Amino acid sequence: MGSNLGRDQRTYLLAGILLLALAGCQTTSPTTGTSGVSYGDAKAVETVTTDLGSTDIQMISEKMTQGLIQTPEIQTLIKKRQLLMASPVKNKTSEYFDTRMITDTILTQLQKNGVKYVIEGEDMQNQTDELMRQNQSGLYSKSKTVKMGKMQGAKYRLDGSISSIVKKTSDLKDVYYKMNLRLIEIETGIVEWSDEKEIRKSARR
Amino acid sequence: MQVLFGAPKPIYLAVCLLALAPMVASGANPAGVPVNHGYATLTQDGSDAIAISDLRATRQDRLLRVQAELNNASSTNRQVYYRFEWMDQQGLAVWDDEPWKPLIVYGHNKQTISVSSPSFKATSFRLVVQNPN
Repeated sequence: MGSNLGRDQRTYLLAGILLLALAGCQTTSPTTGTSGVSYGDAKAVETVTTDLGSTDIQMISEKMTQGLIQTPEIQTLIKKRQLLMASPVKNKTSEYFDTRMITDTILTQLQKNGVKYVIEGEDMQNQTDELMRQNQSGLYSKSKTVKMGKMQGAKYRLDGSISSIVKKTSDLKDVYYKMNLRLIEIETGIVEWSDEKEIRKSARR
Repeated sequence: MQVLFGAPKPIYLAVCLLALAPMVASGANPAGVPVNHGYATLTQDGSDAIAISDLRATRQDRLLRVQAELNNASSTNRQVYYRFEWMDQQGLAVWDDEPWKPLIVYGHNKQTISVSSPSFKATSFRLVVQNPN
């Protein structure tokens, strides 16, 4: 009897050790996957190629936002709750990239300072579609639908372009980017503010 | 007690004021020394070639304006990286992390960084400069 109990105890002990060993194999890192993918710093200086990159977009947006909030027009716009809009920035470079990344960032940063802006372009289609759906589809309760004809127009708009000059030799590539942004009073067409950001990138080949 | 904590002798006071006079007159603030609204930190490589030779800040139109001057004591061009952190009166961050920005400081030259806070809420700043060369 005593020898049987001893065997049971040994079995329990072995199971306990095995459980502890398995627990020790568990990792406390909240990650999954073994593909070698890792996260980096989104604010790091990106120098992978001379093409327009994240650092360029961030530096351009930052400079333009800092310039805009210093203008009396934007400070008055915030006080009087007037509206701003951004026309699409023209991409005059030889590269493809979505220029809305720049204007979207500028508008977001301005909004954090109290600037109100209205949508345009692609977003406008979604806006009118929703207005039509609520008012003309017959699907919605009359008391719970938003009214047509209440949208508000902007007093100022942002407009700009980005251009580049590319120079290449057998061992060097040099790219010069220039982004220009203007604040225009829509009613009069007067350019109230403008600024530029220049960037030079070079790579040995 | 009277001797230990007595009023400073006029001669000592004059010497102290004389020593501080050039710094006050030029507005110069070396790295790590805070100015009215903030301070700067510099991460150096072994050479100590880069220095923050001047730091000024003022509040205007509800925005904080900061100007820092970097001095390159070496003969070679240096690539440094910098960014600002913007805080409120309680020291809480009022803006997202800024991107690191590259800046070339030419050999035996000075380069000025001049910025305005991106937010009306910013009342203090910290300038971080990295010289990883």
